[in-house]
Amino acid sequence: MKKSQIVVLGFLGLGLLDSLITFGFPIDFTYAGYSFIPHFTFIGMLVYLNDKSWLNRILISVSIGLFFGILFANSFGFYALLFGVSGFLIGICNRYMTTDQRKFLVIFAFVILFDLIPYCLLRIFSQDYPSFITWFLHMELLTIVLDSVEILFLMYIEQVMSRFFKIRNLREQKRVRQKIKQVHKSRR
Amino acid sequence: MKKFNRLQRILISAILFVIVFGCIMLGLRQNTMTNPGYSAWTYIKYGLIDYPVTSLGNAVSDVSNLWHVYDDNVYLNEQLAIQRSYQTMYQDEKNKNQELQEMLDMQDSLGDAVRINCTVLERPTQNWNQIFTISAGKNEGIQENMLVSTSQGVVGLIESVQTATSTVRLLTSPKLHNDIAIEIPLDDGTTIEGVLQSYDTSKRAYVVHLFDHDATVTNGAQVATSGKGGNYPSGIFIGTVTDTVMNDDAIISTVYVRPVTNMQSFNYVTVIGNKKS
Repeated sequence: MKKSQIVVLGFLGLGLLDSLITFGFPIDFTYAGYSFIPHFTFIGMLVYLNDKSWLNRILISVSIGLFFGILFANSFGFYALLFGVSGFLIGICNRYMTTDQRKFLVIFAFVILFDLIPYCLLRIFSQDYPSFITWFLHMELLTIVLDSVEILFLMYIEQVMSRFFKIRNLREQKRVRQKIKQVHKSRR
Repeated sequence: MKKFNRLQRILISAILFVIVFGCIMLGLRQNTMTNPGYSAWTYIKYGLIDYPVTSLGNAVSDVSNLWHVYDDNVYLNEQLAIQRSYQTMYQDEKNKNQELQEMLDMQDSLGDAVRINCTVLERPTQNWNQIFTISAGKNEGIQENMLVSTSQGVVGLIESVQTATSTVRLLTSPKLHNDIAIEIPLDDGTTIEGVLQSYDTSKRAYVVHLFDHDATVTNGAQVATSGKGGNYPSGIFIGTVTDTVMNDDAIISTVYVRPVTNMQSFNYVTVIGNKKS
C-alpha cells in the first residue's frame, strides 16, 4: 500500500475516532456536567503537516477540513478555513519546533486556539453563550487534559510511521541497488 | 510558474470541485452538500458502529435490569403476603370493634346494675360449650352466680372466682350449677315466669319450665331474667322462644329458648350483678 493511501486511511480513522468518542461521550451543551471534545483529526493534521511545504500544507489542510466538515461535522467551509489557516501557520512555527517538547507545546497552543477562537466568535455574536469560566470549566478543561494525551499519542504514531516508511524506502532502495548490480553482472 | 506535482493537482481539483459544487447547491437553494455527505456517513456509522454498540449496551442494561426486576418481585411478593395478614388482622380488629360498640350500646340499658367489663382470657377447645375464663376476679368485685353477658345477651353464670380471674359456666353446659329465673312477656302485656334449667343439645335450645302452665307463649317471644333468683337484675336478654311442648293435658310444660347468636364466638363480656346496696 502506498504512503498516501495509508495517510488517507489514517485521517479517515482519526475522523471516525472523533465521531465515535463524541457518540460515546456526548457533549453537554447545557454546561451542567463536564464534556470532552476530541480533536484527533486536527491534531493529526498538525503533526503530519508541520514539516511540509507551504502549498502542500494549505492544500492538504483545506482538503482535510472540507471532508471533515462534510462527513463528520455537517458544516461547509468553516472547518476548511480553520484547518487551512492552522495548517499554514504550523509550518511557520516549525522553525521553533526543534525538540519534541517544543513541538508538543506549539501543537498544544494550536489546539487551545482551535477551541478558543470559535468560542470568542460565538460569545461576541450570541448573547446567550455562557461565561468564559463556565465554558472553560465544563467544556475546555477536560478537553485540554485529554488533548495533551492525544498529542503525545499522535506524535508517537507519527514517529513510528516515519520510521516505518523510512525503513521501507531503504529496503526498496537496497532492492533496486541489488537489481542494478545483477544487471551489470549479467552484461559482463 | 512553478509546476504543480501530481498530488497538488489532485488536491486542487478535489477542493475546487467540492467548493464549486457546494456553491451551486447553495445557489439553487438546495440543502448544502454537507447534508448528503454527513447523512451518508452518519448512516454508515450508525449501521456499522452506533447501532451495534447501542444494542449491546441495551442488552447488558436489560440483563442487569432483570436482577432488579427479580429483587422487586421478591419484595412485592413479601409485601403481598404481609398485606393478606394485614387483611385478616383488620377484619379481626373490625369484628372486635363492632362487638365493643354493641357492648357499649348495651351498657345504657342496665341501669344501676353492677357492670364489670372484661375480656375472655381462655376458652378450652375440649370444653368449648361449657366453660371459659374471664379477666376479672375478686379484685374487680366479681361474685359467684353473677350473670355473664355478651352484646347479644346472657351466655353464662360465674361459677368460681379467683383473685384476678373468674370461671364462667356457659348456659349451654350440661352441668349448669344454678337455675336461672326468667320471665317471658305475653301478648296481653303480662309476663310469665319460669326457670331455665338445662340445655337440649338435640334441639340446640335452653329448656325452660314455666310456673304458670295456662299461659299462652308464642314462638318468637323474648326471654329475659326476672331478677328473682341469683345475683343479677331483671330484664337481661337470654334468648328467643322457638318451641313449646304440651303435655297430654294440653298444658305447656316446657318451652325451648334459642340462645343468643354469638354464643360460639365472643371476645368481650360484661358481668352483671345486682346493684350494691
